[in-house]
Amino acid sequence: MELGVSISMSAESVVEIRNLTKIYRDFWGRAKVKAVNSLSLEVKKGEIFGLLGPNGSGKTTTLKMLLGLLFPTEGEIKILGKQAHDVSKNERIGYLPEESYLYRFLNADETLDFYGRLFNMSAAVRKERKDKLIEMVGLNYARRRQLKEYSKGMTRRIGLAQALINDPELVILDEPTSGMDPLGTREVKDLILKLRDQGKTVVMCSHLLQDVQDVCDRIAILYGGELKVLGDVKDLLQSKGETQLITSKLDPAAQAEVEAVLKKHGASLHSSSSPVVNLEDLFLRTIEESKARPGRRYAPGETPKA
Amino acid sequence: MPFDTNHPLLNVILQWALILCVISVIGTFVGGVSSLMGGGKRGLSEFFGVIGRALSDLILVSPQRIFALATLTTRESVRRKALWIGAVFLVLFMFAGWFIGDSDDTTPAKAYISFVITTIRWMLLPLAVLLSCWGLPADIKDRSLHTVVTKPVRRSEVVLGRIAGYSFVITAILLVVSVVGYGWILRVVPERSQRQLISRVPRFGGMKMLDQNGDLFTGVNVGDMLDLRRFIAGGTKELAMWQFQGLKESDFPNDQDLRLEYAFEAFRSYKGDIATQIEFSIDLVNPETNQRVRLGVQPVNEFSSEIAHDLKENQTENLILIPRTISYLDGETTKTADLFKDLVANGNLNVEIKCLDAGQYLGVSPGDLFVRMPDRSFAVGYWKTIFTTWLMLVLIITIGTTASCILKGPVATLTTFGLLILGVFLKNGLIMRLGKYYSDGGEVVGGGSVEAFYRLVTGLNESTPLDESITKTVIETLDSGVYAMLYLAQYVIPDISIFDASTYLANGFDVPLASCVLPSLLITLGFFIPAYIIGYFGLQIRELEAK
Ligand SMILES: Nc1ncnc2c1ncn2[C@@H]1O[C@H](COP(=O)(O)OP(=O)(O)OP(=O)(O)O)[C@@H](O)[C@H]1O
Ligand SMILES: [Mg+2]
Repeated sequence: MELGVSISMSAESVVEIRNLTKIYRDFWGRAKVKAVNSLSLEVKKGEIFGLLGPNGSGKTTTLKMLLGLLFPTEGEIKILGKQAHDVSKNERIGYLPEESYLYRFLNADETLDFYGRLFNMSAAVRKERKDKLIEMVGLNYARRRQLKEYSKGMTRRIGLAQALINDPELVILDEPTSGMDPLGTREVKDLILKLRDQGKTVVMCSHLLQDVQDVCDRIAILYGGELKVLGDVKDLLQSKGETQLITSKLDPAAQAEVEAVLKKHGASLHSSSSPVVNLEDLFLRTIEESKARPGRRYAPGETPKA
Repeated sequence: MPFDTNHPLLNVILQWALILCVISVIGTFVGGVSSLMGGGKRGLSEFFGVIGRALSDLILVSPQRIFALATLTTRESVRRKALWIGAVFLVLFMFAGWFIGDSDDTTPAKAYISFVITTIRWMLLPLAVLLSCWGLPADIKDRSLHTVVTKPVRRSEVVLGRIAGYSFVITAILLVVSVVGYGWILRVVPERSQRQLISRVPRFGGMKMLDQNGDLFTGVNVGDMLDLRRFIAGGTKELAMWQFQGLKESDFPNDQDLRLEYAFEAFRSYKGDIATQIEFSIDLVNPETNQRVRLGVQPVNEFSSEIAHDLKENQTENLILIPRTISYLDGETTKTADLFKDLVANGNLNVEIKCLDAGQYLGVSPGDLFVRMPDRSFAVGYWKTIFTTWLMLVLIITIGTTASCILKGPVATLTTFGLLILGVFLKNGLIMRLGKYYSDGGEVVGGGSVEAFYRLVTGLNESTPLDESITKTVIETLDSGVYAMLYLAQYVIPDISIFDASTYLANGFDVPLASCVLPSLLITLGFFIPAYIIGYFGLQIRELEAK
């Protein structure tokens, strides 16, 4: 069962994962859950990478291993050219946890100030970053309220702000839009695209497939801790076994015969390409396929479902 | 003996370093071997990677980050209800001491001082334990620490930040209650007893006892088991001699008198004349020229001195003032001697005490006579006492924080309390005594604990030697193992009673640097370093995620 892909370790890769496995153990050291299984991935500089998968497929576990919060059972991690347990890598990383694990007795201002201090920022820089970020996540009206009074979406917003406090090169977002209102979701998407435009790398996981489809350059789909799909979003969503034609307006009679007479009638062909499925289709198909044939990589597009 | 001035500082430090080295060598060895067995060559190189990283993490800490974490810890603690309940309770309790004053008591200051210091110590101690044992586990459980460690924060900085934060909180509370306590003592001690609020600075000398023939002897035992004193017979040539050292003229500016303070005990072998006190003579002797000056005769004050070093209501009672120029009788002629020119030789001065009443006895112990150096103010002794209390609290916080790096809140609390209790109650009692038995080289009747147990089970009496057999070897080996563990336990369990300077203060003594403040400082530092390392590893090798 060879699932690991051979990945070319180019100089510009920001994250390299090789044969990463994580087994959660109980107090007695007995294996409980194999949360991640022989995962190999690479995230390139400047791209937006999406990690997808159903609940419990190991996305958060993978991200936590990247950050050194969890220790891999097996495998290797290189992040920004460093080991996962090297704290100095954190200088250039911003992380938004799945739930915002912040100090509830601090207010927004104090929160950002505290994390700024952890980066040894000067008071002036802290103030400037703090003001900018609070403005950006739209919490100006609540910056002096304690986080325990915050709603879920507000907590997400301040969580996002703390992830960006150090102007990181690599931003790791675990479900950044969960709990956010539609406007907030829109803003987060715009923000992620803006981060890419600034040359930063974003690794995110999300269940909102439309959002992922909108922003991500490349995605990986995990199922049961195993990598099922990995590739460019554009490639993955093209159904390569099919052709899609867009023609000029046809009259009803011609429409009825169009398949047979397309050539004969010589209708002008406006575009010809593979039809684009949406990510939701791909996702559901991957999951079904993985259930049906466990242990195998899923090759999307080539074997379209009837 | 709390008045022990002979402190082998260097020995202590060397011993500490030795123990630390032995433990870390054993730790490294065990870690290295187990990683070699677990992961082969790669395991070993990983192990050394961990050690190398640990060294840089432990040393290259950022003060700014520690400060940020300490501030956070302070804020977090201030929000804890337990803290405020504890603090309010403490202040209330201190005022409850209003009722302890007994107007008949000749030493009211002692009662008040002991009360204030004891209250502060015993109320802040659990507060320090609770504060330091619960914060970090809660931080891990709420996962707020996760976000922190995704920043460039070393785990060593987390440990230090926690310790610093809790210490800051405790320091603030300690300062407030100490100021309150100080003011309260000054107010509540009656006017007539205010002079008991003083810090006497004793200079002790070595004591020897000489018998009729001028030979060393250990004195007469009058059969009082609780009394540490030995007795010399009155009306004989038996004497007790103190050898004082390091007396400098410059320590007594403005031609101050040299003061000798004493607290002897009289033992009457017959009732005699109760109205007259048993008396003793005092001779000052130059140890080099043997020039001798009889200062005169003093009463023992046997009916007012229950405890040695008790501060007397009338202080001058037990005080001998020696002027710079002493006039004395030599036979028939009156002569004069200069204290520092004629009697003190290179800072050394001998004082000889003889009991004058034939048939009665005078009880002496080394601390019973001392040169009373110029007094310091009560405030000096008080704040030194508070300082040693502070050191104790910092030690407790260090231990508590370390425990909480490894254990969950309740377990950490139990462990810390357990260690402290073990330190106080067992160190001076059981462990010391067992350790002594063992260190006597197995010469103890009935042997060590394993042997004693064996004898108990087999019904063998204590004095019958064991048969030379493999059993005996096994038992003795086990016993020496127990001894080694007890020996180690003596050193790794802190004894917080050393930090208690209130006995000095309450009895009107200054808190001595050499036998109280310095040991306290060394113990706190000595525990801080290994505790810091253990706490760091506790956090470092632990997956904070997998709770
Ligand atoms: N601390 C833990 N101890 C034991 N098992 C865990 C722990 N955390 C996660 N798991 C298990 O590991 C597996 C993967 O969990 P993970 O949180 O990585 O999933 P996920 O893909 O992030 O899911 P979701 O979409 O719900 O966030 C799950 O089966 C989960 O039960
Ligand atoms: Mg998750």
